[in-house]
Amino acid sequence: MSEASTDAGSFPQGAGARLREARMAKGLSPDDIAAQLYLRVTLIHDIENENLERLPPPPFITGYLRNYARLVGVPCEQVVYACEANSSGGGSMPTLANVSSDEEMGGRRTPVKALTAFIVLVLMVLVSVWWLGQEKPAELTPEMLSAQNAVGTPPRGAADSNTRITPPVTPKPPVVAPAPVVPKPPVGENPAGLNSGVPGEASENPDAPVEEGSGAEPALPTTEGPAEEPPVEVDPPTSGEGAASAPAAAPKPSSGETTVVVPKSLRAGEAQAELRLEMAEDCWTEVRDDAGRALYFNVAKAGSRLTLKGTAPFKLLLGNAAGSKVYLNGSAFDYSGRGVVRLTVGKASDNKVPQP
Amino acid sequence: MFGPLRGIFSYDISIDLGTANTLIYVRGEGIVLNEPSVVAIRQEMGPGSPKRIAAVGAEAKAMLGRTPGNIVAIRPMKDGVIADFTVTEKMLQHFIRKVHEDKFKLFKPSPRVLICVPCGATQVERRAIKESAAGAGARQVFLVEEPMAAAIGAGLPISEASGSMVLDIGGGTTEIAVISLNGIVYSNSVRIGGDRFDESIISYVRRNYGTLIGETTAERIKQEIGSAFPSSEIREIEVRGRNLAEGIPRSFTLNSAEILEAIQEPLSGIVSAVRTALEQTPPELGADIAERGMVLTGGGALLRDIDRLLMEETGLPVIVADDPLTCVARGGGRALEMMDEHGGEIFAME
Repeated sequence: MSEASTDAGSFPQGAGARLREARMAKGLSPDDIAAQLYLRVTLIHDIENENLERLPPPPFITGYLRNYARLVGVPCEQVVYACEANSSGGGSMPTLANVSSDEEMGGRRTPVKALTAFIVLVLMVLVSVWWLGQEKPAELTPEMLSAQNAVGTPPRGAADSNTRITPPVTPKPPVVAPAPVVPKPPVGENPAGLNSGVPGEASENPDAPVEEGSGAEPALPTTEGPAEEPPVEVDPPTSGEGAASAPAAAPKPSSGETTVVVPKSLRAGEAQAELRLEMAEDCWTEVRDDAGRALYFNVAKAGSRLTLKGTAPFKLLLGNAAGSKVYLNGSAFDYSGRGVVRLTVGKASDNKVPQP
Repeated sequence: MFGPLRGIFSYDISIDLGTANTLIYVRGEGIVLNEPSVVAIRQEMGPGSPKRIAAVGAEAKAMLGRTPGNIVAIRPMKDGVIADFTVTEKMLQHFIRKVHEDKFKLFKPSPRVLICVPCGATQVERRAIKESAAGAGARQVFLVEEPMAAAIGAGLPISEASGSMVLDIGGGTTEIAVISLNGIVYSNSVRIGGDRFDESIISYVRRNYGTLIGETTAERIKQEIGSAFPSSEIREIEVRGRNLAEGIPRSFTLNSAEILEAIQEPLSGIVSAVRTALEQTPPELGADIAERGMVLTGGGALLRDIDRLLMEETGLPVIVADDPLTCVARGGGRALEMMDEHGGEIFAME
């Protein structure tokens, strides 16, 4: 462009006037030029008078100027540049389509590109971090479980069926429980207890033993109000929704301790069956009621007793089956097996409750 | 799968895949590559052994006619279309990578590519070009006819309701088209171009001087003293070639009048094609062309006085576009931009 302005300076009178001078110096008329360039004479006059708005679009003007300049022996590019410079000053000439110039085509935008690349990189890193954070531990080791138990929170993802939790199955030597509280047998007309999965019995025997250690109490009629709420020794923790099935976060039982867990949703008298677990050895215990609520989800220590109330049938997962005993409504539930055992207690098809 | 992601790190490019030269225009950057369409292939272990690319572009062109037995320098494009698919693909791959040298290098470049094809190319030839570009890593491939790209690159008012005639003289073909309202009204492609001029010069020298010269020498003669119209000024050039009778190199002098005589035949072919185009053009558009003239683009437009020859032969104004060598590539780039601005329907693309 600096060259262009320099060249424009060499034609102070304008490109058209310069071409006219050169033509007259050669003794040619506008008609001669028009005949040689195959243009109309009026176009030649318009070029010489720089009436560029009456000329065809810019690429043609450039071509005509070049041809004219070459014919009369004037440097072509100088004429074109001079014409461009004059037109840009006067604004009469349309901008020539110089698509190779940076200004026209946008030029280099290196800083913008670098910034874009940086942002994309940061986003990729964030997505990677998030992705890795989403990954769950494949297995929970006993150490991790005990650490979680120590703080009284259920293991992460306890409610997540995709997470496989390996209960501690290593049997420990039985701990002598100091005077375990023996539950009193349920008092009532129906020793089998509440609805133990036996159809018909529940309606016939609405009264049921509630719990051990506190004496016999009237069973919870299913339609009764809160006045007949079953006694609850230990409230299930209610710390947040993360505890998915809040009763699962039962208090850590200590050796010889009796724990009674009643889901909050059952306090209104819905409790229909009682499940009692007696642990001779430490045992990973997972108990769910019919609705799938986790009633207990923890390691039951040796010598401890758990009394759980809920809707039968119960689904149990015992990590150390040999070191635990299961009673349903006071009657021992017979099962065999060592190590990890899954049980369904109180099923309709499983009505033949063994005698205690 | 990662095409769109890789696209972030790639340019939108327009390629003028010519017989003689390949030009690449990068959107927002301008012409970034102008290299001869020549590839040198090395075969290390003799016939049957694997081939490797020894050089591409200017480096390979310097090898033309000067290679040892295990290297072959070839031009994979012939008459505007692909003559060797694999080599063309490799050449495009090399050029695309070269264009993206300053880009983020984690990903292989995957640009959107617009390629200009001769309007006379068959569907098979077009498909070959498209697949070649896709094989070279292009994410999307568009084809546009060369005269349309040339007209856009020359800045012609193609969207107006007036006729614009463009004559693109390339290395392998000459394209003629009349364009109006963003469409091609008439187009024709003749397989005459810069290569035919070179061949004519080679055969003229062999016939009249009994001397064999190479393609590179013939091209140099054409560029330095070639002329399409008689002129009072006579230029001369001294060249060397192998005397066929003696079998040894000899030097001799050629002048512009001889070269004009040598290239008469291809020039006549171009003039005939232009005349045919004018005959076939609807009268209203013909009047527009007679008023404004036709525009020359392509490397052939740089042949001295070719505009004068066409003016005398047709009686119409003829002008040479600004920077005629890069018109097609620039026009292709502008077509990509127009496609983004106005959608792909603005003009016929494939």
